[in-house]
Amino acid sequence: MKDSNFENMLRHSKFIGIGKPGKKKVTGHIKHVVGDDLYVDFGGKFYGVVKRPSYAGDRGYKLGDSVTIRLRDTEVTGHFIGQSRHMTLCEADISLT
Amino acid sequence: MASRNFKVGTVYTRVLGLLKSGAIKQKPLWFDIVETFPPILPTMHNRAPVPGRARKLQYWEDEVREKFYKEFKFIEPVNLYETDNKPTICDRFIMHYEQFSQEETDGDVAFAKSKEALEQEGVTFSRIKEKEEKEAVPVKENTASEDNASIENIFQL
Repeated sequence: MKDSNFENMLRHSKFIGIGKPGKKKVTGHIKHVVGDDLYVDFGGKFYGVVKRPSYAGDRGYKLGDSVTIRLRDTEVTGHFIGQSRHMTLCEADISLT
Repeated sequence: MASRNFKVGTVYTRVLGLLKSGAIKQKPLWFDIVETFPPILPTMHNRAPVPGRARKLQYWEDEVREKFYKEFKFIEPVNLYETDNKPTICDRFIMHYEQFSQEETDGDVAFAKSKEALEQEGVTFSRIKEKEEKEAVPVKENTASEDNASIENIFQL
């Protein structure tokens, strides 16, 4: 094993190599389908959730399909006004290309 | 101190309290061992971390990467699950930058040199032209808008 410890492996990993999410293209596959919501597993901490586009019809975007997505945020967090602690949605912010 | 809440004391003190109060009848297997050989650092929930143990995950490559992705937006999609460790264009750029930055003190010169080195290897940076054209357009629009009424021009009309 070239990188013998975790610190080196992380430093040279593809995740760090991406840098900031910044709408960069990442490939993933559809892990779950709930109605019109597609849960895309691209290898991040959370799945990304998108709505199936209306032009796709019945043939496109099924369970297990490979998709190319734009990564906008690795974790969607926010806080209500007056609260200091952020809450997480446990999903990534993505958009279909 | 009979409590099940993990935020109170250590495991040992909690179990000791539970035994004394009678909530637990039987000693756990590990109890006598931990009593005779207590841990070096107490296993408390609010223990201060050892200074210097958790380091910031900041590397010098991060700045180069940010600059690279800002300038050149043409990168192919990345598959985070791939394990073949093939260096991406950005990785190769950083390897060149590392070599050039040892000779040059100016970061911009090293940046330009790494870009040339990658172009020699066969990588085409085709999105730069589009960016230059986009920057040219706002200059023309500003000179043509003198006749338009706007809040800035309102006293000149």
